[in-house]
Amino acid sequence: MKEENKDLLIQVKDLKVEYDTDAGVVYAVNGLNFEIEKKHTLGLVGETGAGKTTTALSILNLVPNPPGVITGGEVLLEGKNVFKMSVEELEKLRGNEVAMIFQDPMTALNPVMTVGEQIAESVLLHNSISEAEAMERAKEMLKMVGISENRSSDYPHQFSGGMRQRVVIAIALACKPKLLIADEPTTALDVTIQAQVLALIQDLIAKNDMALLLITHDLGVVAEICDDVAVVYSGQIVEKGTADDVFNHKAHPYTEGLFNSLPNLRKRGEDLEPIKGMMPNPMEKIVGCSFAPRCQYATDQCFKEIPTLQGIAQTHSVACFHYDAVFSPKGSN
Amino acid sequence: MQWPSWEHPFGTDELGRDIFIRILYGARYSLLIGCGSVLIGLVIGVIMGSIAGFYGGLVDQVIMRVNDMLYAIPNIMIAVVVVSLFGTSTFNLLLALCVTCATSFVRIARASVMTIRGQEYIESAYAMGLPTWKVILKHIIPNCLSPIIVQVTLLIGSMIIAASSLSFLGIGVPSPAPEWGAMLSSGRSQIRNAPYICVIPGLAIMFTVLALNLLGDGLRDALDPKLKK
Repeated sequence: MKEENKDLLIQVKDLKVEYDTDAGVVYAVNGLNFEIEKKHTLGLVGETGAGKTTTALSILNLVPNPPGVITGGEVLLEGKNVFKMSVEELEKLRGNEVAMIFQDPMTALNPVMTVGEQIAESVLLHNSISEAEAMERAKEMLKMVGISENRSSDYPHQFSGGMRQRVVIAIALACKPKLLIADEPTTALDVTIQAQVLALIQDLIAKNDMALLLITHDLGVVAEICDDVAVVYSGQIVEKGTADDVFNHKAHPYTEGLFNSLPNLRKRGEDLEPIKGMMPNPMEKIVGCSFAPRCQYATDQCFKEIPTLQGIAQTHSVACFHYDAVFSPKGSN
Repeated sequence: MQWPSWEHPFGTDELGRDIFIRILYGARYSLLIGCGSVLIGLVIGVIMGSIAGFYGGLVDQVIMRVNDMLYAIPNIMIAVVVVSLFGTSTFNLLLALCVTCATSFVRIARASVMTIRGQEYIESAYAMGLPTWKVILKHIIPNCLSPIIVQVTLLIGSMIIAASSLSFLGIGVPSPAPEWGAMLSSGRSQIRNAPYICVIPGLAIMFTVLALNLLGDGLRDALDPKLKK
């Protein structure tokens, strides 16, 4: 681990979130740890239901309550605990220091407000400027994301999906936040538009010195823009490291399974190898390793003890007792 | 009694009063009662409905059960009770009718607020740092408006009919006032030899309500940004 002058923007420590539903308690996030350095991008990868979005909402302290309850842990933004902030402090934080891009651009914009008004709203909220100035700013933002500024008085339905996502990005970046959380920003878009939107996000992040938390289930997207990667499985991080660590020296059986289930150019014509079984039911408390029932390397120990994240290289850590079976250290291949 | 002529376009009634003039003055009562009861009902109903829909849980249960109780009582019954307690007057009639209006606005506002509040743009408004009251006022209510506005125009129509029927029954606007329902009622005895006394106020009610319904349709189209050119 590189301890020297680590400029941490955000630290998530042992985060636990539950949803208290009529059918029982759903353990969505079970002791999640990660941190993001300033100007870095972290990709949070995992299946649907692994707790990725809940984690993102926790950073803004926006987990819907009821039914969601944050039962433990803390989120430190530049050292300040988000869960202990007052409502006013939170309102200042949201949008201004941490902004979020939502998954579906078709529903993330208010249909009865023009896009200009929606961008200006955020600017107006966090800066003491006049409405006319905010509108000017909104037009600049539109231009920045590649939309002509004379479209600022158009309504969301007059834009295509890709352009709406650009508008959503413009709203998120209008106040120049320090951290941008992008929750599956390209899932609802065509592949060609995906590439454009990703390039745009990457470009704007670099220009404005922002950090990015990218939530996705698409390993390709992560490879393209992330410095660091954290793999989430049933509310816990099972492996994290730099993109190189995770992609080229994967150590967790789940990560291995994810890669095996992707088409590979070098193994054309071969069958894909899916991970056997299903994600564990989030309503059951997990004893032992949550991945053990699906893992080909599992032993008795895996069903009794919970593996914790342990460093296996300078930047690389994994939560598995038998990572040796998968891991190939740098230089060995 | 005179049949319609150039001098009296709609004729005169059994006491020799000009029906044309009485229809004109009667419009005041009908529109006042129709608009007044709907507006009061609108304010109360939207506030209560939004609270119920937004907060849910126990608050929602209490508001909705009270609302159901009021909804279950026919508006003529409420009017009879109000009139027998406070006497016949235009104001009491208005009061009785606004209860009916409020109950239907509570339902509409609650239903729309509940759908809108789960939308992603509401979440994104919170993520932008907007306080709750601003989210409700700027993002939720404007998105609920079009069903409410349509309901306003339709309800004004039905309240005019309700007011007229109550006056027809003699528990609405008190007698000498030229209320359309009361005029219709007073012409009943002459319906064989002077049907115009009944028909003309009836037509006045019909055209007013029809006009309000058309207005409702037009407003709905005009307010929908998807239909704007």
